[in-house]
Amino acid sequence: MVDRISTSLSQQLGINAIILQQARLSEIQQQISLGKKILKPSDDPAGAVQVLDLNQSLSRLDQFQSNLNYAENRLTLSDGILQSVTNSMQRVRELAVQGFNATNTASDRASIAQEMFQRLDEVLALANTKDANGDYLYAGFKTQTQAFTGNSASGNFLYQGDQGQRLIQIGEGRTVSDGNSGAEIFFNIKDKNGNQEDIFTTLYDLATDLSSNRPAQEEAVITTATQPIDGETVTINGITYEFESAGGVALGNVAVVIGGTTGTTSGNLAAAINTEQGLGNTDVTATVVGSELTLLADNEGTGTINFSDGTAGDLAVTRGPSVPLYDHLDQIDTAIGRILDVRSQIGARLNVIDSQNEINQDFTLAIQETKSQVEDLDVAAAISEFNLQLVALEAAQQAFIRVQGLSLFDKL
Amino acid sequence: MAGDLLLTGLSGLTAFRNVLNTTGHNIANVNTDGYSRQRVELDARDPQRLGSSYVGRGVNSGDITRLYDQFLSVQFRNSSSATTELNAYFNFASQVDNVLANQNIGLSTALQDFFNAAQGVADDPTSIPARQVLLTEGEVLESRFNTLDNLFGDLSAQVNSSVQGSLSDVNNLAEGIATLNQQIVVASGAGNGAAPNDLLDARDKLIDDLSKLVNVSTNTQENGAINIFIGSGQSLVLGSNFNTLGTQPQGFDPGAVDVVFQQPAGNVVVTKFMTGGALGGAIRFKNEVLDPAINTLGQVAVSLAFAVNEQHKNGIDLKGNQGQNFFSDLQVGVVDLGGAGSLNVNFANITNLTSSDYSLTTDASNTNYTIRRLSDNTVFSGLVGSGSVTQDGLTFDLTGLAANADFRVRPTRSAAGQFSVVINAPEEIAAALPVVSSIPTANTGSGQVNDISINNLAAANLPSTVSLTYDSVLQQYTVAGATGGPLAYDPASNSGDSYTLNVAGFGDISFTLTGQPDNSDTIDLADNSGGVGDNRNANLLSSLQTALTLSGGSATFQDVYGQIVADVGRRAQSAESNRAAQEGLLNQTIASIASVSGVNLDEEAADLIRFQQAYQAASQVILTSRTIFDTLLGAFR
Repeated sequence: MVDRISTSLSQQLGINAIILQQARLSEIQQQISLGKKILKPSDDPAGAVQVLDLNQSLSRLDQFQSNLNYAENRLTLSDGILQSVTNSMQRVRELAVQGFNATNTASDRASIAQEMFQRLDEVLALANTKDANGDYLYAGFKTQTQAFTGNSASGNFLYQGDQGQRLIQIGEGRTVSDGNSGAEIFFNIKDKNGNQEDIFTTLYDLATDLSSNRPAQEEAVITTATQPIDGETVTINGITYEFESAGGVALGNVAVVIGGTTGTTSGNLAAAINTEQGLGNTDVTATVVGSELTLLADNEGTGTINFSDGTAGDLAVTRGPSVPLYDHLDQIDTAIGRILDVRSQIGARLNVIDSQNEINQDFTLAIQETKSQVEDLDVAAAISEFNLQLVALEAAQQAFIRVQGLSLFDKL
Repeated sequence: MAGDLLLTGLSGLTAFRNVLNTTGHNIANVNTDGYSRQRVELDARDPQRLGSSYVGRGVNSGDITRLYDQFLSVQFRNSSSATTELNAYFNFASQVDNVLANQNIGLSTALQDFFNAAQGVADDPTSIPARQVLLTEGEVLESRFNTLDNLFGDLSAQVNSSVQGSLSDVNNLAEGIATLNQQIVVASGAGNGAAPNDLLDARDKLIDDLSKLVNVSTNTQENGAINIFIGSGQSLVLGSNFNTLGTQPQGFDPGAVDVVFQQPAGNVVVTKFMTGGALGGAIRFKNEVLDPAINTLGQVAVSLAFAVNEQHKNGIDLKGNQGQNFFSDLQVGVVDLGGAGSLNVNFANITNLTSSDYSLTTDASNTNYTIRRLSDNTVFSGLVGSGSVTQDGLTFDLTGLAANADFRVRPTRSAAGQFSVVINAPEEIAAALPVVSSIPTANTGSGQVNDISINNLAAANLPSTVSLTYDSVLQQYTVAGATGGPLAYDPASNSGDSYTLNVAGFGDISFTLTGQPDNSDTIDLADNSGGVGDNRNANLLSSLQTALTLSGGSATFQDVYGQIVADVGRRAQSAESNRAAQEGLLNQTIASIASVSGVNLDEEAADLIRFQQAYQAASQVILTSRTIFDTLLGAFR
């Protein structure tokens, strides 16, 4: 402490004190008006960087919520559509059971088939649904390509999309798929024999069979000698096949080829077919009762039967054996099962989204709390400090006036 | 005898008038900066011997001295230099500080929005509005980088003009001190050794002012002149001579200036010796805060552009074309500091990239090169003959070098200013990957390909489908259509492992294999034509936000930006608290000086009363002397 004060210094000191108080007061005022204790990084460098990081986390969480809404909307939309598909399929199943009832006439079946074709169109339209942005929901990554082509008039259904599956980030390190590809839902379904089937062809074949009044269980009864002769015909389901051989087919010279494997030559057609059967071709069974040969198709789709006398090109039956009713129903059930599978996947994803939503919100809350601790002002404390500072400033001003008012010259 | 009394009284009158004059001078200068109060030294005259005793002969008004403490004034100048240095430093640093605090200018929000927009594209890859948002956020990012670079550039210019202003003040002060030196020498001679107090005060004031610009040390000569040395010992004033300081552009950075002594033989660069004061503060701010901030911001810009471009170029856009550069391809700045040859430097990776500048030199025979990282002076050297060398994420092409080459490499310096978005249509955003996997229905096992990513993509279309066929005996996938196979895959232990295949003319396809494949199950990797709904590359782009790709794989873009914020904040904070401490010290010194040299009006008022009374008393002495004389005359009448 100095014991001699110069007049100008004492004045300066008084003013300095007032300025200092004012500066502090203005800082607190700014803090109070913004509610923040970190106004610039230098107020708390570590805190400022922490706030940057916390802001990034908050902004990411915000974005996750927006992503999450996207995924949720798409999944909900998809679930709704698949619900409609399931309803249609259920209806078709009822129609099939009803249609194959033996009491129905051909025209009854045709009209039932009409509704089935309608349902097929409905399912096809559902499978080609676009979302709000005009993107096909079930085309995989090819969202601007119509997912499925074909129609109930001509059949021939094709999947134009791919197997891509979009992942949407809904949380830190957490992604969810926003849909399934149409291939998975509608197309790449295996029937009980492990062959590919698709929902549309299943419906189409069913409706076609029904409309053409095919018997519930496909049978072709051929009445012939134990061996076909040239010019003899076989009619299976309205299609006539003719055994053709230039010089007649010699006994013991009938070849049967099933499924493209090497033929079996036998003197007996039924025996030849069944020998093939024994070689692992399980598509067709032949039985002979008297002179009646009954061909029974076991499977859908594959397994062309070629009758031949060993000379190529003589006779080719290219129409595949058709499908029994119970196989039809089986296929519909498989398809419905697949859709239920997908819907349960969707449900699981929606659950994940729900719980992630909660997690995100908890995170947001926790981060906001941390951020608040780092950068928010303790307003009560600040206001009390503000008042204190105000008093101090007033005191400094009062003191200045009193001290500067003192002068020996006044007393001269 | 009476005459003696008269003379005695007269000596008192003269002395007290001197004292009153000085008191008046003190009062008049109560508010004069740098004024030291003056005092008349009074001493009794030598006595006259009268018989056996000495009789006093009155008072002598001796020297008028100023109350001045050399030690305190040195202390003041040191404190003053330190305070103004910190003040200048803090004022500049707080500008950066305020810029970084502003959410509307700072980079952090723009970075977040950009990556969020990438996620927005991932949410809905075919949406043109979502793509437009990403493009716009890219442009926002560009403008943030550019704005920050401009602000930093403005600050650079401010530093330059502050340095130039300080130097012109230093020159004026040097001239003033030299002139006063001359006057003081003359005045001291003329006054027969009496100190020309007010000239001394004026000179001290100039030196005090100089100390606010730069560190000052003084050396007083016998003839009263003072020699002035600034910074770390550069002589500025020698007697009545002075040196002139100036600026010249830095060789490797035309935007920056060096401080030079202008000598007849040429300019001598003394920038690094200029410490303390406003000059030292500005220079230190530039070196410690501004340059690192610009370089680090540039590092973020380079890394972001590099990483986003690399990823973007590995994808395909909405039209099925390969992604182009998203941001402009930033170039490494190379400045030739004289010498032959040429040097080409390119970015090799961003993981090892630093914010430092580098120098590259070769020896006289162009056999060895030396690369010096200037931030920590680490040296890397090798043979020029090796053709090229990769160091710190930079590839130096050595083939054009010549003997005694001297290059300055500034990888990140101008990056923030050059950062720009180069794609301009939303369709050109490459949100998709060029390859899509498909699993035939015929498969009976559950083998799958996941997490496909592409590297070094050279063409948008896969020339032919790549097929992986599983062999359950050898436990491997045989590969058709690509090199890198067969891929050993044991479902029990390899599920989730990463594999990479190369397709010539196309690129590298990386993926993970999972599941339990059956024998002769196949997985196809096909061209992703028409895959406009694919968001995989957008996801990969957005994942760059949190990827630890910088600083040797330890930091994200935001982290490195945060380093600038923390560094500037910390430096501004420490400058502020140091300044407060120095100011306290300075005020203490000022108070000490004031207690010695300052004018106190009350004291002067008391002196006025005291010496007025003394003056009146001395007048009475003269009156008494006259009365005595009159009495004596009356006795003879």
